[in-house]
Amino acid sequence: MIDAPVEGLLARVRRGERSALARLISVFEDGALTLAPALADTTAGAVAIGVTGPPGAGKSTLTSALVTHARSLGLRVGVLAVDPSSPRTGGALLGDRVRMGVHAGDPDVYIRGLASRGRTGGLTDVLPDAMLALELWGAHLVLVETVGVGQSAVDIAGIVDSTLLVTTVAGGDEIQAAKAGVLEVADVVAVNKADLPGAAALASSIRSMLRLHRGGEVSVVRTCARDGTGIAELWPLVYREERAADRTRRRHTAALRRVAVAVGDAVAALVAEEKLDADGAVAGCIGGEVSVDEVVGWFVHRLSQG
Amino acid sequence: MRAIKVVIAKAGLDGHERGAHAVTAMLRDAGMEVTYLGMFQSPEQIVSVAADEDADVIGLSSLNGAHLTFAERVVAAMGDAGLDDVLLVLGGIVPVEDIPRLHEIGVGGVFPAGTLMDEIVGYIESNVRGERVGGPT
Amino acid sequence: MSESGYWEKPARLLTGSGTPVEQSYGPEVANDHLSPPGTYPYTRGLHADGYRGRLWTRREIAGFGSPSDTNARFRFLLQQGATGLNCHFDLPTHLTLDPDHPRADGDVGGAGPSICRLSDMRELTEGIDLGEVSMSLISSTNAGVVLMAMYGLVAQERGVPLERLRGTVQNDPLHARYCGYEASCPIDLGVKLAVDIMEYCAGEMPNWHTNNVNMYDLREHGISAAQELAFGFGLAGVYIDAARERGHGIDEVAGHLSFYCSLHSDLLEEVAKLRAARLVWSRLMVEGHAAAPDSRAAKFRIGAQTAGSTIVPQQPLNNLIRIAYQALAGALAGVSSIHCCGFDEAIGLPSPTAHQLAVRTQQILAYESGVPIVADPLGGSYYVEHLTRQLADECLDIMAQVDARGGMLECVRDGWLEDQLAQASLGQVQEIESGERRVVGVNWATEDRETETPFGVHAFSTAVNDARIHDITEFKAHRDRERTRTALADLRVALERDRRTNVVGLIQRALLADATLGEIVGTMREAFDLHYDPVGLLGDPFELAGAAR
Repeated sequence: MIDAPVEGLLARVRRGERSALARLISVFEDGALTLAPALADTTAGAVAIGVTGPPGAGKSTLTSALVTHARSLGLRVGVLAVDPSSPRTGGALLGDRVRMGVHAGDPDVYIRGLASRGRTGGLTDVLPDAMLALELWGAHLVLVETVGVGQSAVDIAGIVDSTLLVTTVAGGDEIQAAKAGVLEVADVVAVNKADLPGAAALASSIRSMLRLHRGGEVSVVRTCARDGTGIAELWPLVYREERAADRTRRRHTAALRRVAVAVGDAVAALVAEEKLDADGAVAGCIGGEVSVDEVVGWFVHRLSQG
Repeated sequence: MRAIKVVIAKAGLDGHERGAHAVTAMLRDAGMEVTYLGMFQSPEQIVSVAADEDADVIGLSSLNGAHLTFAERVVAAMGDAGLDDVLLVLGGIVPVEDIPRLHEIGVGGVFPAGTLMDEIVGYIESNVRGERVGGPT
Repeated sequence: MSESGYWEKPARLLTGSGTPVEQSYGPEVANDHLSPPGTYPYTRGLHADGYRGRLWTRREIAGFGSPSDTNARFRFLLQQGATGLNCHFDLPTHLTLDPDHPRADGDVGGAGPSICRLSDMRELTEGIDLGEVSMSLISSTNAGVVLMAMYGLVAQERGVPLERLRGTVQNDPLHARYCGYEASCPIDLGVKLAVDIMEYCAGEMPNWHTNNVNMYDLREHGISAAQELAFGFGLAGVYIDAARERGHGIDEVAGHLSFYCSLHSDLLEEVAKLRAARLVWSRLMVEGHAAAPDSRAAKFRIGAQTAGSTIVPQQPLNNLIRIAYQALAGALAGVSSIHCCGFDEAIGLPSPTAHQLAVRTQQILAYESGVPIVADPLGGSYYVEHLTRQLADECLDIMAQVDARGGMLECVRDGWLEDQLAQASLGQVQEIESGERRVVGVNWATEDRETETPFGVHAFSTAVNDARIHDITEFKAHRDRERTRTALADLRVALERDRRTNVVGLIQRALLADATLGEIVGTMREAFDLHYDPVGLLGDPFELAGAAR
C-alpha cells in the first residue's frame, strides 16, 4: 500500500527532514494517501493537545505560549492550525501565523495550517495522518488548534489526548460553550485575557457549571497568554503523558471514526440521490407514513445481517 | 482534493495592508488556501513559512519602492530552501520599467497597483506547478 | 438596457461616499440660517474676505534619501513657487528605528529623509530661513516628539526666536496605528507624547499648529465623507481631553489644532464636507467646550491633500486631471493649504517633473481659474447646502454612536475603529472589481499596460541606504558614550518617577549629548513597560533598566 516514492519520503521524515515533513502532509491533504492503518503500531509518539474556543478568545496566542513553555522543557513541537474552508468557494484563510512569529526560525517548532476543504466530518481523515507525520518527524508535543465551538471541536477531542477550551470575557461565552457541547469533552478550560474585568467571575461561573455537569473532572485556569500568566499552572493539566502512552487507543478511535464517517457519507449520498430506497421505506417516510427511526432501523437490520 | 496554497507577505517596513488584505480575501474567494504573514518579515522568514506550508505560491506586497532588492533576497532564500518550483508573484507600487528586471530576477507575475483581481487569479491558476509528487527529487 | 454613445446616461447615481441624491434641488433647501464668511459657525469659511487676505499655502510633500538630498529638493520647490514645506520621513524614522537596526536595511531614505540625530535636522534645513518659511513635519508616531525637539533646537541655534516659527507637526498618534505604524504608536505613550508636544508648542510658538489631525489617511481606507469627519473629530477629542486633563484651557489647546483632510473625487461632496466640518467643529467647541464663538478654538483650520488612493498607474497622465478637480474642490471649500499628489503617486515618489506639475496645478488654480476671488463661491447652491446639512447630520450621528460605545479612545482600544476601516476598504475594492464604481483606465476605457512612465521614475537609492547605515554606525561608535548614557538615564528616571513629565527639554538635552531617535524613544518605551524595540528584536544598548533605583 505504500509505494516507493512515499517510502522514500517517510524515511526522510524519520530523519527529521522538514521539507519531507511538509510534503508528506501535503500528500495526505490532497487525499492521495492514508497511512494511519499501515503505521498504526509505530512506536514514534507524541502527546496531543486539542485547543479550541470561539474567535477572539486568544487561542493562537495561548497556543504560542504553550509552545514556548514546551520549548523551555526541550520538547520538539508541531502545531496544526485548522481553519474552515468556505463552503461556497472552497478557499480558506490559514492559521493566524501573525501571532506565532516568535517561533520563526526555531528548528524544533513546525507550524502548519490545514483547511477543512469541505470534507464531511471536518478533518477526521487528514488530522490523524498529519499528527502521525509529526510524530514520525520526532515531535514530542502536537497541538491541534481549531476555530469555534462546534462539532469539529468535539470530533477532534476523540483523536487527541486532552482538550483545552479557551474562552474569555466577552458576551456570554460560557453559555455559547455549553450550548455547543464542547464542554462535554473539554478536559481543561482556560479563561484567557485574565486581566480583563470579569475574568474571575467568569472562571467561577464556569467552574460551577462544570461541577454540575461533570463532577470534578474538569479544571478551570485563568491565563494571560500575552505575558505568560497561568501557563505554568495550565501545563500539567493539558500535557497528559499518561494518556498518550496508550496511543494505540487514540489511533484506533481515529481509524474507527474515519471508517464510520466514510460509510455514513456513502450511504447518505445514495439516499439523498434516491438510489437507495430501503424497500420503499424512504419514500414512505417522506410521505409521512413511516418514521425516520423506522427507516434507520431498516438499514441497521439489513447491514447487520450481512 | 487539491487546493492552491499561497503565502502572502509584505516587503520591508511598509505597513499599509489594504492591498495585501484585499488580495488575500480575493484569492480565498477564488478557492485558494491563503496564509497571510503580515508585516516586518525578513525574506528568510517568508520562505521558511512557505516551505513549511508546502506552498505553491509566494506573493509579495511591496509598497516602499525597494521591490528589486527585496525580490532578489527572496529569490535567493527560495533557492537556499530548495523552493525552485514555487511561483513567486509581486504586487504593489512598481514602475512598469522595473517589470522586465523583476522577471529576470525570478519573479513570475508582477501586478502593479490597480491590477484587477481576475488577472492575478488567472495568472496563478495558469502558472502554478502541477500535481505534487512523492517529494522533491 | 445599456445606452451607449450619444444616449449614454450616468451609471451611478450616488455621491462618491455612496449617498443617493435627487435629480435636482431647489429653494426647499433652507438657506436662511447661513451666516456670512468669517462668522460663527463658519460654514462659509473662516475669513470674511476668503482668499483675498491670503491664498492657501501651496505645500508639496517632499523628502527622500539623506537629509541633504531632501534639502536640495526643498530648495528646488521653494524656487518653483511652493510657499510652504512639507516633510515626510522614511519608514525607519517613523517606526523609531535607527538606520542600523536589522530591519531598517532596504528602507533607509526610501519614503522620506532618514533623520536620526540632531545634525540630520541641521542638514535638512540648511540654507532655509526657519523664521520665514512655513514647515509641516509629517510625523505622528513616537518619533514626532523627537523631531519637534530637534526643530526647536535648530531654530534657536540659528537665532530664530521660537515665536517666529510657523508650521505644523502632524502629531496624531492614534490614526497612525491604522497606517502601518502601530508598532511605534502605543496608545498611552502616544497620547502622552502628543500632549507634551502640544504643551511645548502652545507655550512657545503661537504660530505653530500643535496637531494636524489626520482624517486624510483614514479616508484613504475607503470610508465615507461623513465618517472621515466623525472619526477625525473623535480623535481630536481624545487629544483635547488629554491636554485639558493636564489643566490647559480650551483656547490654548484647540486654538492651535488643525486638521488634515482628503480632497476626494466627488467635487461637490468634498466642498460640502469641508463646509460641514467647519459647521460641526465650531458647534462642538462652543457648545461642548464653552469656547467663545470668535475664538481660534472654534475655527476648523484645514490642510488638505488630493486623495492618493484615487491615483492609478494605468494611463498615468490621466491623474493630472483627477488631481486638478480635487484641488479645485479644496479651493472652492476655502482650505488653508493644499498638497497635490504627483501624477505618478501610484508608481513611486514624485519625479521632479511630477513635483513641478503639482505646483503648477495649484498656480493655475490660484491665478487663472478665478475661484479664489470670492469667498465661498458655492454658498447658496441648493445642492451644496443640502449636502452640507446632510453630512453634518450624518457626522453627528456617527459621533453619537462612538460616544455610546464609550468614546473614541475605547473604540481604538477595542478594535471597533479598525473594523470600520477594514470593512470600508474591502467594500471599495469590491466596487471597483465588480465595475460598480468606474475608474477610467482601470475597469473602464482600459488600454494595454504602458511600457514606460512619462518623465521618468524616481529610483530608490541603495547607495544612500548603505551610506546612511554606515554613517550612523560610525557615529554611534565614536561619540562620548558616557555623556549620551547620562542624558538618556535622566530621561528615563524622570519618566519613571512621573509619567506626566513633559519630556521635550530632556529629549533636547539627550540630542545634544548625541543620543539618537531610536535610543530616545526606546528609553521612553521601557519607562512605559514596553519592549525597547518596536519590532521586538533589540534590547537597550545602554542597559538603563533600574536607572531610577
